Amino acid sequence: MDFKSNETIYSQIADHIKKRIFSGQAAPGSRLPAIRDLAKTCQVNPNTVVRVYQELTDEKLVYTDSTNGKFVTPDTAYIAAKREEFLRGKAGRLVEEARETGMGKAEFLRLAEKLWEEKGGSA
Amino acid sequence: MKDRDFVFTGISKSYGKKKVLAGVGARIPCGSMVGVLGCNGAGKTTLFNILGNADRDFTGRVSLRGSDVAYLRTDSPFPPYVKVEELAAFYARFYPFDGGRAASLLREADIPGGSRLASLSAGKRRLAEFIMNFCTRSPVLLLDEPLTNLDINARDFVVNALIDCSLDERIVAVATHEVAELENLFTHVAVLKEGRMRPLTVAESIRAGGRSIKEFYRESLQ
Repeated sequence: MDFKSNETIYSQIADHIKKRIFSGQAAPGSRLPAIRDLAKTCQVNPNTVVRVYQELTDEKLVYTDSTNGKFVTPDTAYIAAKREEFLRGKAGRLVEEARETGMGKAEFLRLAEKLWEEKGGSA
Repeated sequence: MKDRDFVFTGISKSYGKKKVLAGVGARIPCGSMVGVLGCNGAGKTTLFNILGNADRDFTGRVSLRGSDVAYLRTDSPFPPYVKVEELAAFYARFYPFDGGRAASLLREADIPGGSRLASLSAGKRRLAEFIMNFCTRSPVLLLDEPLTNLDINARDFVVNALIDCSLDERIVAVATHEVAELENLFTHVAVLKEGRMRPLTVAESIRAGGRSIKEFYRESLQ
């Protein structure tokens, strides 16, 4: 994983895991990598990963089984709600920036559609 | 391993009229991994020699001494005819030492115990000395430019070893002018410039302010 060097590492890893949970790549109820393993994969200090899991636990997306490690919450309705919240946040900031740049709704949607195609997304 | 910070205050050192360290101090929290950043000649090695028991000619105070501090130097203090297994025996005599772990890491790094330091490549020799210091149970581990001379495999070996130990209480301080490869491992950084040390700063709080460690380092040098 490549990190932006001027943003906190923990927030970048947390976002990465959230996206995996929201997209279903990390299935509801499935086990997440152990702290040391994830630290080695990302080549970061394990204390950073501890903080990531703490934050995701506070957000109730992850729970700790004291003997077996970290797991994605099995609550699919909750994951869907958090996904919505996450996307509204990201998309909301995008809309604000577009408006500040003087974009209209039609232009914004046209650009969104064009970029969706260019970046190889399916319909 | 005892739960304690590593504290040094007012460390000063001169070579003749030239003042190399002018009152350097810090409290390094237990369990942290600190990057001590500085250009060549900033006094990093001079400071580490003092903190690592290799230089007793200084003024100031250091909280942990002797076998509480393991130190990987840039210039090897060991004669070339020493065998790796003799080096391990030396460390076992002077430090609390995990010989089993050292043996397994040496195997993993493909360094035979019977080989003399002189017969190893510069990188392997340095790796052998890293393993020795790493496998002490000293609460403080000082590493002076630990990645210098290492190929990519050896660098990964060192980085992964540091990741493995960084949930422990141990304090690791790394002196380096190469920020890129270790910056994501540091919990704190401190910049040494012209014999003085800037305050110890939390790495994530630097990034939270929108700056990279490298930018922070550059700004501290100005």
